[in-house]
Amino acid sequence: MKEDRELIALCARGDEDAFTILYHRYKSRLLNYFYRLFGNRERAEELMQETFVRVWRAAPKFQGKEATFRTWLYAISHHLAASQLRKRRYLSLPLSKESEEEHLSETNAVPLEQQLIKKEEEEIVKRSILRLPPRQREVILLRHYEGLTCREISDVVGCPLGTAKTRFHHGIKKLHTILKTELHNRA
Amino acid sequence: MIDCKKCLEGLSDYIYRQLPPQQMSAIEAHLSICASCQEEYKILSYTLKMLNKWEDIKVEPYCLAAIRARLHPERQKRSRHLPSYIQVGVLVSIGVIVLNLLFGIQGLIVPPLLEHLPAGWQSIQEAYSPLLLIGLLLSVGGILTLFSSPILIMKMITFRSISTEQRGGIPNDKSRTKH
Repeated sequence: MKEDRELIALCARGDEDAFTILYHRYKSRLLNYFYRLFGNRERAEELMQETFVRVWRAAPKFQGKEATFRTWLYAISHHLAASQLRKRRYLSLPLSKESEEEHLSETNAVPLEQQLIKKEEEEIVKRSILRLPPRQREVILLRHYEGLTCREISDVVGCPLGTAKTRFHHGIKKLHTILKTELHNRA
Repeated sequence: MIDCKKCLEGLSDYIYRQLPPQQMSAIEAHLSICASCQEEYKILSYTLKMLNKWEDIKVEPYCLAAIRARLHPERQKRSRHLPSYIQVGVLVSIGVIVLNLLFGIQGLIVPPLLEHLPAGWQSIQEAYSPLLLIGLLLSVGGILTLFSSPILIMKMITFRSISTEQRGGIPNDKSRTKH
């Protein structure tokens, strides 16, 4: 299996097969990163596509010595997300209903009651994450779902290491409070 | 033994197991004796556990096709332009229009021009007649129209059908409906 660095070097020479391998390697991560950041599937798909197009165009500029492909990819995603967040019009969008229905039908091996409880809990988590300030939300998403270290996050977001750690710490605290309130309201 | 500040700093790394074994053990030892850090650990691990309840969504297959269609902007740019034979046809048509315009205004511009001809060019002045010029312009315009129009129309039809085929199967970002 070829490494990301080799594949991006091939992309820089116009190899679309290498690009396709990279796409399949990172498509799910990127889509879900944007989905969790904005809570909207259509927006997430658009941004994921735009990220990959930018990766293809910027491939010759990739400096493998300074950054890993993963941090470079998330840095591109971060810039795109930041420009969308500046517009602020996608922040308050409700989560698309279709994904919920799709998810329920996919997991129909589990009893319906359990599915509904699981779904409800998932909804609470979604709502809670989307209520976080965007900067804290982004750091939590990168850390928890994308598996980046705080050092990598500071490179991606372009902030000092201490700031990345603080955002994560405060974000988790806030998220915990929101989750507690949401769960209390449900009960 | 580490203090509470050090412990809290490394707590998330500890949970994600991103610390060297020595530091992992140091935090573990501190947590076993410090109630407040233990509380922080519980909050963090509970919140992170809750985060796992938000499951991933799947990537639709059309996404790759949509990306591939955008990888080569120069190709897209070129395909948006009319082919060279259509451009020639358009230029010929413009030529016909110009000739017809000249036909309309030749009575105004030719006689004053002839009056100012140099001495050696008198034979042109003598040979000129409005009818001859009208005939010449109409003939040239007619020949150009005769050859260019059918080719132009046929090529236009072919070009439209090719473009439609090329677009088929690749959804447009803006026009794509919900999936």
